[in-house]
Amino acid sequence: MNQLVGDIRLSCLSSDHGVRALLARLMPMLPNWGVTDEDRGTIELVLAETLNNIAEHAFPVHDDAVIAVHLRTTTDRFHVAVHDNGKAMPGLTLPSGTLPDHDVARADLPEGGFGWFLIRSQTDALEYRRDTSGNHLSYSIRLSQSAQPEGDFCCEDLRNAQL
Amino acid sequence: MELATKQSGGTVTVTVAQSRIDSAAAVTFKDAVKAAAQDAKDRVLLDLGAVDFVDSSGLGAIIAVMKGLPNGMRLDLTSLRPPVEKVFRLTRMDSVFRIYPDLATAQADMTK
Repeated sequence: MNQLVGDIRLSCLSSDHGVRALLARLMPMLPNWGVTDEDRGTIELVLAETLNNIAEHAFPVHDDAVIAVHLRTTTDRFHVAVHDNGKAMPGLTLPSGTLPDHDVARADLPEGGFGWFLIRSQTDALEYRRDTSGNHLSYSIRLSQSAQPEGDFCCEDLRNAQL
Repeated sequence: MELATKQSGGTVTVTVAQSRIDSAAAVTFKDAVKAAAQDAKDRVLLDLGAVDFVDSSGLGAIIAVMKGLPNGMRLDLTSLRPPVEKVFRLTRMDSVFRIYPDLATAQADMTK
């Protein structure tokens, strides 16, 4: 039932343009795995939040560090594992991701603090681990419709693609 | 940042002509929309019909534009595509902005 549909390793540089380049490369592949437009939108948003957070907070100075991303699609889930060798999460725990209060005067509206809320609201099995090689973050996203590969598309030649 | 601006009555309609308002684009987006909105009297209408991706940085930039407008001037949104609408819905910002399904409906609504 829960068969592996796609598996790819990508990497990006620790900058917002690096993150954009990784997404530009990944997103056109997902239809080949039978991932619907709606699920693609969720995946793109959650990955962008994840990788931009790492680029900004794990590498506050360096834009040229490498963030490694391992993505797998099974029939009903999209699995994400991210590794970087940047700074640890403060307190070695993930942010709570509380939604900032929106029922306030215009001048007091939040302009940030949405990233971890969005990640937490769209993912399951969220795990963070710090070891001597750096930060390891993983989670999965439930697909609204079952993924299945189309035709004879093979992801093998795309493995380890460097950006 | 590619924007097209059109003034009609007290409303300035700002149409975003690129597909992403992401972390890489957020700052230039914010500055460009603020500049484009200079001549608005009552409201700024931001047409996002060409935008298929907004992340939390892009959302923050749109909120910052609204907060920078003079008191009493609105920032309304129109033509959100499904992935963009989802970001506003999840963060409850759909209750902060007036969001119209299309440009004609937005321009016809004269409610203060």
